[in-house]
Amino acid sequence: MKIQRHLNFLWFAVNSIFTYKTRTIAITFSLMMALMILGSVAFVSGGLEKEAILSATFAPDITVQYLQAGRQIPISMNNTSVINKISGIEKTIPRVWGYISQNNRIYTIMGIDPAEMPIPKEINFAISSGRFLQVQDSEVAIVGRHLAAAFALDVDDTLILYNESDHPYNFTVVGVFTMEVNLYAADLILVTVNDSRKFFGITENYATDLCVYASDQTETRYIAQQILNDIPGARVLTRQALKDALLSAYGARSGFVSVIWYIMLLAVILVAWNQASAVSAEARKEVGILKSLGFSTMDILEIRLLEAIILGVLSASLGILLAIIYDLYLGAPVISDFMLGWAAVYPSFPLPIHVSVTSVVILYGVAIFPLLVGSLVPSWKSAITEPDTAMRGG
Amino acid sequence: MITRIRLENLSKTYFKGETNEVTAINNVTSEIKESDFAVITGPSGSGKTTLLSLIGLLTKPTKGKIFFDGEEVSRYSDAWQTKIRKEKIGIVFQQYNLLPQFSAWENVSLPLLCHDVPKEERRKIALEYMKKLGLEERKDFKVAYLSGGEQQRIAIARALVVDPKIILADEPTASVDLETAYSILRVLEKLEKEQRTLIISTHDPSIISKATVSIDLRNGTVTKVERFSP
Repeated sequence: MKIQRHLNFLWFAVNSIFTYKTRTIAITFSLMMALMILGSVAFVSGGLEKEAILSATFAPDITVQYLQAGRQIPISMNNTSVINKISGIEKTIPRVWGYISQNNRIYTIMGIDPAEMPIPKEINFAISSGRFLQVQDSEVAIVGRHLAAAFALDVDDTLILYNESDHPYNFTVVGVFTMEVNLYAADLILVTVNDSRKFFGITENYATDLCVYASDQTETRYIAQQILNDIPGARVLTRQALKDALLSAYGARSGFVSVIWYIMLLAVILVAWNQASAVSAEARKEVGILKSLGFSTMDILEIRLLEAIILGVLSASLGILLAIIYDLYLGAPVISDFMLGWAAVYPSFPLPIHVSVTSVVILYGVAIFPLLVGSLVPSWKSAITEPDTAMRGG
Repeated sequence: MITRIRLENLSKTYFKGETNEVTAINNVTSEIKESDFAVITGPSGSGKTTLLSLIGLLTKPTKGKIFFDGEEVSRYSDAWQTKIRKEKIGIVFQQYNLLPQFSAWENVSLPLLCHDVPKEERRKIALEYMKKLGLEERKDFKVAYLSGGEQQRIAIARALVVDPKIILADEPTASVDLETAYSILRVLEKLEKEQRTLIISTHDPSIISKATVSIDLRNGTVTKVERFSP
């Protein structure tokens, strides 16, 4: 039975791992800690990335804003007729939004036109209780989950907001957003465009953004270019550009995540290589003895491969487990400060965590691959040496 | 009697071309028959261990040829030489060369790992050989806790466990007490009767007295070959 030989080698590998406790603990602990940091960053980054993608889903095909002296100012509704002349435009609708400060926290009030705005099917996943805005709605709001928690709000409760002139406005809560859109909606108060205009004192002929919907999605880039040509000074954002911006801010491409990954990856490789390849004369002698007993080079490499896989899987599993505990139960202290620094003045909310199969596979790879190389290369070098020389530790 | 091992103009030079170049074996030609009990004698540094390493295919000769059963094995690849060691040769090292992470019986059973033998059977076979060498009670001891004599007998049991045709032993009684040396000698005598080829490097007169052939080495060169009647 051919499998028996491999089981024998597995027995040998496990025995060696348990015998060389100091080496095993050193490798497992170092890798586990490195993997915990890597995993923690990967899971938070994955959560932010997922939210960013979901948030971008709710964005219009093209958002048109107006800039003056580099700052965003209200855009005239007259531009709607300019935009609508471009072929391939389905509709252009206004959006009015702004920030308010309440209890030393900043919230976003977003006014949309529920009659005109296409409602993506994903909205069902975004509302945890209540409903979405309807055409006849007035003085109603959908609020972010953590805003609801901060103000102890539920559906049908009244939310009182004060504008810049300290004038109170009452909104009846008709829905609460889910945790899934926390990145976008934790601080959000979604109202009708008319209520938003009233609140911010923006006249009917102006809006904060113009939301452009194209009849053919593949034409979006061309339409965006046309809008830029026809409305000088406009800032034109496609949904894809918004998605890219969110991903590069919060996702794996963000600077912090990249730096952490590169540093930790280097650390993991160095630790694993150093631990695994610290082949003492003793280890070389062992290879020589095994060869003298009839073990082939492949047999020896198989044993070392099994050792590396067992240690790598063990370290990665513990590291991933700790990363999940660190992120989910401890709220990823330190890491969250770096990754959500922008949220300091926003309502606090739990970190979005997403443990994807891809990131788990990558983490296992990061743990196992350097160990494999660090173990196999020196063992292979010893195994191709004459047993006599290897036994002398050469 | 069939010639089991033939050495033809065999030489081994370490650190060739370097300032510390040493010729350990110089132009050795010899023949060892199928059921020979051969002893390699000579003072320390005469090349006994190197000659055993060459016969055990643990190192390649710088010059010359090694034949097993008429086949020139010295020109074989590392993989083929490993296969020959696995199937035909059992080696007892002077320094025992046991693996400290394993218990006594596990050390004895090590060569069986690459012979597709399951654990229970490995244990059974190992204990059988350990019993023959009076080591049964030490089966579960880590080798570090065994005496030199016990470790030597573990090394002998390990060399025998795959039932090899050729057994090489490097000064097997050099670091053991008289009683252990005597028990080792009895095992070796028994092996000789089992029609195996035994090649032992030794200074021990009690072993030399049992030999059927004696090869005397001085400075890596064979100075005398004596064949005795069994």
